[in-house]
Amino acid sequence: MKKRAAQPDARAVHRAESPWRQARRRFFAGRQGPLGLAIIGVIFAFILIGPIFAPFNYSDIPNPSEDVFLGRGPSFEHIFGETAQLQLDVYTLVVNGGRSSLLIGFVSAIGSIAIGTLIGIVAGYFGGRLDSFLMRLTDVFLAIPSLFVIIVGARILSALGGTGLQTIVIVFVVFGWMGIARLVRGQVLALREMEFIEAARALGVRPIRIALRHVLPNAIGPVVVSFPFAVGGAIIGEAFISYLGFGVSALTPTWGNMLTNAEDFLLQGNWWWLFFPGLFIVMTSLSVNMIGDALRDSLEPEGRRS
Amino acid sequence: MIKFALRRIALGIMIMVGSSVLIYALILAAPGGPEQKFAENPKYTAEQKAGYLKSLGLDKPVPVQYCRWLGACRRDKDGLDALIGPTGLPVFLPTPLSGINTGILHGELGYSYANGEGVGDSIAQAALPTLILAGLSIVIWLTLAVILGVWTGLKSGSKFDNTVTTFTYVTSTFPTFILGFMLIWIFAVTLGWTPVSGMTDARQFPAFGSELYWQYFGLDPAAALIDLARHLILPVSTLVLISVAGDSRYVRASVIDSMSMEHVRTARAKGLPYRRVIIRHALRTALVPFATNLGLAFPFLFGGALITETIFSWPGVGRLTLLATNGLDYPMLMAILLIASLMVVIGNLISDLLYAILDPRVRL
Repeated sequence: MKKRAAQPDARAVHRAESPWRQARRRFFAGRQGPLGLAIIGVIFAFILIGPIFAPFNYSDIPNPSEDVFLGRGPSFEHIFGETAQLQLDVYTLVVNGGRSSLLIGFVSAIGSIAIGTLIGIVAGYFGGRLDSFLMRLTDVFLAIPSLFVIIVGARILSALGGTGLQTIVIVFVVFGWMGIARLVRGQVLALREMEFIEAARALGVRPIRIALRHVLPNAIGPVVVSFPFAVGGAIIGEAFISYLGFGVSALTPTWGNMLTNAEDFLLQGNWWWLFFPGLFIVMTSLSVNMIGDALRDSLEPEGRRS
Repeated sequence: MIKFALRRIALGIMIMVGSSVLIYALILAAPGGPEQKFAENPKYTAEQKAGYLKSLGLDKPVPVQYCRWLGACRRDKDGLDALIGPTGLPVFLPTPLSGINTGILHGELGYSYANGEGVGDSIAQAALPTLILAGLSIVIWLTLAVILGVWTGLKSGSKFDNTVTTFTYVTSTFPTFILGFMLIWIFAVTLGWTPVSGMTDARQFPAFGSELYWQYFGLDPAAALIDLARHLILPVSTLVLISVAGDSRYVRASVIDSMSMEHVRTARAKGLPYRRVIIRHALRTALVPFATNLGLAFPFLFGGALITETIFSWPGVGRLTLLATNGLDYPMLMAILLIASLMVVIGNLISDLLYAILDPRVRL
């Protein structure tokens, strides 16, 4: 970035760089963003390529060969060790669990952001009664602490028979759209009064078209920033809820539900059972946070920088 | 100012009504119900079932049930009459005015399905351990955040700043429960410095909060406090490590901002001592926005330690919530969710009002 600033590109004088290109340049000029992308890239690669090397199927419960109640530590055959009780291969669980965890993270983030953006645009652009109704609804959803309501919601759905990935995604989407809705509404309110929107209105463009073609692209910055945080939040949330046993059932391994009971065996020294899934959860959380912060710095350079 | 405050309070009440509807709807969607315990009983006839539901008022339409649960309707009348108490005043007013004492508005939170105890008593009993844990953590992390934030802000760009900022950033991205496990593994299992979990040493003291505990406490307060402190180390460290980064970053940024403000520059140009300029001029402007955030810490004292309490088997509100969730203990869950959202609404109110006092522009 420093070099470019010192020797301005001749073409840049003629053609202004688009805001998105500027943001991309700033993103890759920093250290945080590329490092975060690299870490999440390694995790993705591990999850996509890893199953090929997994010698076991996660649904195979091995015959406990010896009367070993405790799990066994990492060995050549089981590089991440084995769990206690069922003696499952931790590597197999982590590789397969990662797929579910990341899927939950991304789908929940996309779902909650889509709903939040829609509500935010409708409330901000159309205003009036609809706006006050939607914002009071947002306030009400925000008033109940999200962790409480997500845990209770997940438990109720699992009592109704939903123990799959989709159940937890539904809970995250239903109780996760509010922050985005508020953010987008604020953006839209500011944009609505701008000249180019007024111009579009004066030209007789239909409101829906203005909302989608003129307002949305300009309000999308904060939405993009919140995406990685939403992914991280959903992955961590799922991990905790499934660890409690209210989320995804053990038939579909995730990084969370494979930790159920793990802490009981921590006292007996079975650290690998917690360590490897924990490492992946931490790395995912760290990388998405880094990407999110880097995105914020590059998309909103005038904002407060940490 | 008063008008602003009244408007905010009215909005808060509206939000509380809304969230009570949401909580009611959530529990209504949940499986099971009072008649569920007889569902497998072949001798239980349809008439008996209907009579049982009628005796509980469950034959009424859902809005009426909600109104009765809330305590805005009498349980012995139907229609619009139900809204007026025997004193002629609306039912939702406090008991001395309305003469009605049923419903959550009059403090009737119901009885736990799990053990038949009053929900209010159980929550009150669990609130003290949570208050101790969350309160201590919040005091430590806010103090630490201000110290670290000011220090790193004044020395921004230095090695110290980089180390502290990176360290707190990394720990803040840790999921709470993973960090909790890590601390247990390192300090309790491997090193053996602290207890693994719980609030008291079961070999020396009865369960915290029981009458017997307070008797033991009275016999040897020092030993009891030391025991409590040993159990507090890991959960408090978990909460502090997770939360300190956000606030210290916030303080750091506003210190950096305020150090370049004109009044600070003027003060330094006048030749005032550096220390005095920082304390009297820079920090004052830097910490105002931080002070308004304190209202947001309010709900934390009730429900902020849910994950930490679970990991460390801390007998507080978080663990009570999980037990109630696990056992589908609806009266308990409804009460906990309601109190938690009341705390959020009050916390927001405090923060809004503080902000309006400190920054008159927002009152407009």
